Amino acid sequence: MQAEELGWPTKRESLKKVYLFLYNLWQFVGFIYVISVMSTRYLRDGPESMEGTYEAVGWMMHLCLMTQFLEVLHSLTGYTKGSVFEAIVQVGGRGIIFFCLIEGEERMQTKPVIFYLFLVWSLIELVRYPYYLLRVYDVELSFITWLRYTIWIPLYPLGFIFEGVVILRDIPYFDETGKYSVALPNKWNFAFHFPTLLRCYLLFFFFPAMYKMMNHMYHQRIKKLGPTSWKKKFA
Amino acid sequence: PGTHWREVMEIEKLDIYNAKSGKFVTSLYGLKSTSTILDVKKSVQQQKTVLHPGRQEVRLEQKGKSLQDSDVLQKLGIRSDSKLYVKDLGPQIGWKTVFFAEYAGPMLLYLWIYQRPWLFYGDKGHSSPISLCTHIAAGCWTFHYAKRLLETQFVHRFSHGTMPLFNLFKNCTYYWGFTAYVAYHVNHPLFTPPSNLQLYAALAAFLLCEFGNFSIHMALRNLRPPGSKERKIPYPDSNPMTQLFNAVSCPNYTYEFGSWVAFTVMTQCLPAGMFALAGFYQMAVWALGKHRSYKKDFKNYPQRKAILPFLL
Repeated sequence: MQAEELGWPTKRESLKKVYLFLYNLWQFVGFIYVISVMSTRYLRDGPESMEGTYEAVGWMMHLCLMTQFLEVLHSLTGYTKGSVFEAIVQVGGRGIIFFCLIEGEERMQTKPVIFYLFLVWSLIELVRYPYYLLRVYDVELSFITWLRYTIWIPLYPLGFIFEGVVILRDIPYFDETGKYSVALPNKWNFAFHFPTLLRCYLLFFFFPAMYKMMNHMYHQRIKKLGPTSWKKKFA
Repeated sequence: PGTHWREVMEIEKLDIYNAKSGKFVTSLYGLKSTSTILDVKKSVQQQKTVLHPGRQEVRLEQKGKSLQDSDVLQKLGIRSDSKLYVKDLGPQIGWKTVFFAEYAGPMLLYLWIYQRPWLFYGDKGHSSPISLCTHIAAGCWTFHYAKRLLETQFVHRFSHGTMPLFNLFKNCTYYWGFTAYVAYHVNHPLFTPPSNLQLYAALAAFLLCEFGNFSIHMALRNLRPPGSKERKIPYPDSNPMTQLFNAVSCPNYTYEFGSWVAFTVMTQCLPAGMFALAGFYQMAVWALGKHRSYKKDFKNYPQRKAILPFLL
């Protein structure tokens, strides 16, 4: 009690920080693993290594992406700042791509786009988690901060494109297997055609979503790094 | 003590500032202390014709509360050289126009899909007969929206004349989108109706809720005489359906939700259930807001919930 009055953090606050630190560390290590295995395989076998990517690291991706759902809870309980909606969109979007579109269709798992997609996702996370790790204890290394708020510029569009490729190439497979689709007649008079939803996403939501995401990150960057940091160098 | 009339004074110059940017826009001349905010808006419009009064919001402070059209300048403490802020609310559209688009659209769209057009069902459109349930559902849907159209024309009294144009697209997408979604399933050749008992019981509930909703609209209309701005606590009147006022602040929304639950049970259709839930969410938000505002304005506001008796 006295300690609290003196300004020391409560036991609960300390435990919370330890938890968040461990969470971010676990995720960071997971993605280091993914990148390491993928790089080693590529250095050894070149482009031929891409086919076995899911087989080699898919399980670790699965683990990391499952744990990532916790980030929604972190936001909800106030453990982290940031909106719940954003967390849901980020984690949910990745979740659908990975759990439904990749794990749900074996023929997708051996395609080279998986290599590229996992690479981009991992690179993004390899910057995001260290940034959060430091933030838990209110530390900011300017280089990490700069990376976190800059690397999305090439990586987010690439991520979107690779996700788009996965969706596009999966449509005929889901048309054939009928997975995740519900047909009439049934007791609840409900029909759902998954491939049609995928087509609608690509036609109507893909570009607007990418635009909104990029715009959002751009404004965050300005808030964090100040307007066009490169201008200062060349001014 | 109390107000006393001073002689009418000229307000030689009134400075108008843009509420969004805070910058000076123009000065108005020739207003009086007995002029109203509406007179200010008309004067602004004389300088910029596109800004009709319905499109302007006038404030005393840049981020202050909106002033009423009927507010008198003298009572607001405005004298010559005073500052007022004006916000452009964007292109406006009349409430009645919006409601007709939002209600006529769903009604006609549903009736079109009821015909099982080729565009939605292909050649299989006429592969099976239309069930009694589907006929009744089409009747209920039409009845609901026809009732809304008539109420918009004859019953409702609107406090604002207009709303932002963007709302029209947003709301129409919602109404027309859901209409197509529900209608597609209920009118489908492979639609499976529930038992007749369920059908008729739900139909009765639907009609009861529609009548309840109408009763509340009439009671609310009678609460405020035309032209008055008086706000009163709504209480039950001679119509037994209005007893629900004793339990909730917004029984019209309660009945509306009831109608859509009944429609869902009648058709045993999950999309209809989704529509009922989506509507409930929006109405709950409105009801909670209204409930809060009632409690703030009336110290003696009775113990009620907002939309669901005993629950919410």
